[in-house]
Amino acid sequence: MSGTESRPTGAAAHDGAYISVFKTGEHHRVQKSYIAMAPVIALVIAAVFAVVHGAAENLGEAYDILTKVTGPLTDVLVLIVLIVPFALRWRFMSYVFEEHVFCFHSGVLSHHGTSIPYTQAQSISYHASPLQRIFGVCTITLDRAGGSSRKPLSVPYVKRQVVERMCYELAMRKSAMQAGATDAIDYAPDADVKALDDAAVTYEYKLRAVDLLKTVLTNEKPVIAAFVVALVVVTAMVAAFLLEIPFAGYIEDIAWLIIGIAMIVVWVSGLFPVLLRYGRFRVRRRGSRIEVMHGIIAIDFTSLDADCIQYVEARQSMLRRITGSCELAFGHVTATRVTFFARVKDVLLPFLKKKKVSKQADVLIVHPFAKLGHANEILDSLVPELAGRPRREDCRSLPKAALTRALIRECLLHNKVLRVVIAIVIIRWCLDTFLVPLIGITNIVFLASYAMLMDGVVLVSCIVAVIASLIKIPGAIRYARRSGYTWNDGYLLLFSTGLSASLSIIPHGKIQSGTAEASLFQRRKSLATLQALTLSGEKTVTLELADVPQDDADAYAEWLTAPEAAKA
Amino acid sequence: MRELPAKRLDPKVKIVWRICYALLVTLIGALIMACLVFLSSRFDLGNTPMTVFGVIWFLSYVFFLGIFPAIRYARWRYEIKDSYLDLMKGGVFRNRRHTIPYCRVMDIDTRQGLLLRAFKLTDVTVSTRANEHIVPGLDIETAEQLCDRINALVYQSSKDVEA
Repeated sequence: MSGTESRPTGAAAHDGAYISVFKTGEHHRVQKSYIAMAPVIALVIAAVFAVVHGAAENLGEAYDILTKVTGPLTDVLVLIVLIVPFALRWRFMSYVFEEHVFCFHSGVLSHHGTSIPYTQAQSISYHASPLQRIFGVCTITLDRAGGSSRKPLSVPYVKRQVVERMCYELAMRKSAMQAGATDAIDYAPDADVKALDDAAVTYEYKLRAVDLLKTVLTNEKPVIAAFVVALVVVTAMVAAFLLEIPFAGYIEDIAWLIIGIAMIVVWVSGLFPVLLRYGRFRVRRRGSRIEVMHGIIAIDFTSLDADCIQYVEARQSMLRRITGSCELAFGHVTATRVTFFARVKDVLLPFLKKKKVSKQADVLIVHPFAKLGHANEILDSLVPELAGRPRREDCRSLPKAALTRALIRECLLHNKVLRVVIAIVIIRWCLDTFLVPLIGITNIVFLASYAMLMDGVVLVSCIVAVIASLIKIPGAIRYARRSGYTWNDGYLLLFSTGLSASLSIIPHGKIQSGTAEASLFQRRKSLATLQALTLSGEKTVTLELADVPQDDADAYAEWLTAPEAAKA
Repeated sequence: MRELPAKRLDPKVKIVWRICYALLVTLIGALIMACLVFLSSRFDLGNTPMTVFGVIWFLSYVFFLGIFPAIRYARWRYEIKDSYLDLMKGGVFRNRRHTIPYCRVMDIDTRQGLLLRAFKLTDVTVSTRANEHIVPGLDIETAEQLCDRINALVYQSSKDVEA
């Protein structure tokens, strides 16, 4: 990061020496509970066989034959097909701290060795699923620089205590290599890693129960889900009335009750995942690292070097804006997680390529509910390297012409509800023009009901579209009046507001390229959309602000290429 | 207002684009036409859908072979500045101007497909860690000069940043 000085971790904080707890070149095995996964899988398979047996009982003679075949087969599967391979894989699975790289070896018949140079490790994280927590293990993952082109290195089934030592060791070796002091590493296997690490903690924050509750209650996703369900229920009811379905009359009196119950059930059920995710949330600044840990059932831990922060984002949903709070997040590079479904998709649908440029990216949330007044204070404590960043108050406002553009863009061009309504109207026209004559429906009663239903759907959609456009008007006005941008020697700040708000701070050195985009309408008013391309998650992320004066967009391009800023 | 980038692409690239668009429009049009013919043989659609589609197909040819490549060519400009690569491109509605500082450039490639080879043209791809920018349809000599110049400037800028 610009202006960041790489500082040694706690290992070097005391006496200038780097203390290592893993011997260089020594192979370490993963936890034996890896083998215990076999019986768990075997139990699942046995359960499937039991269901098959149950279903096959009515088959008579065929059932006897099936029992003779599948009965012994289950035992053989448990003993040979599952346990033996798991044991073999465990036997050949090991990790090792080499002098310059961390290696992970695996494979029984074909040997795989993956290594990551310590200096290339962008972030270290571990995840413990509920099943892994029962066995007291977790999976540690190293993300390396290079984003989507490189895979992460994952070591499964490492004991929790060992993981903490590994995280310390990896960060320590990275610091030592960056400082060019690999010779100064002292091997002390019994060193108290926790004490060494805790000595380097300069800031720590735990989410209080009250803040957790506020985080959960102000999360917008369950609210949106509740409103979508309400809309679906209302549409279904309107359709039921129009089609004169027999029970429609009965639900007339309790319509509001049904809608209310549906909304509450969806909203409450949506709150639980948020609660489980942000429960026990804690963030820490330890040496040069920022560590975030959260989760009640599954545990997630991420350790990110301050140098690797690509941008900082303070996000406010509408609910958060009302409560005067925001979510603080860091954009950082992660490697590609190749999931099973992704592999299947690549094989079956190779033409569906993954979109590499996105306007949304996976970010590391470092504070899910920060009061606006405290956000700067938290950032200063957590990342003092960003002290030179511009502040919201320094922002230049958008020109007056931005208001008309914002109204057109928010209410018409970028209005997703309006797009859906237009699609519905086109579909309805196509159905009327082509499908109904094609099928040759002559039943007048059916046609009348069909017409009423379609009219109802189009009417409800149009009303929803008008409401959605009206709701966006205050957002557009707010965007034109309050949004802003600025830059100084080392950072670009983009503040985009509306019904929700987002403030992004991007270090100059992390902007890969800049773009000034202008549509036909923008060109007529000498406006442009200012874009900064940076890396976050697996993808490239575009941070942008629309309707900046063209002159400032040109000045931004000059700033982007200024050598003084590049060095800052 | 910044001055526009000085250099333009090789005019032959318009022919390449026209051939590509012609193939694409023909392929998509033929597929849709086949579907319409199939439906007409099964159901009584009348002449309207075929006529409407025929007009759209013809207009697509006019647009993609006549108008769009000319606009695209007119908008496409590039210039190698002292500290950055300046690219400007656009279509009918949208103009984009990319600024790529040399210190962010990771690698520079040249790519040549069958069609480009036939016209003795090549694409130059400038990659950063985030994405890649393609300068299409340069004649081979210009492309080589461009690559050499950018490589030299990338090297120079990396030395400047280190200093």
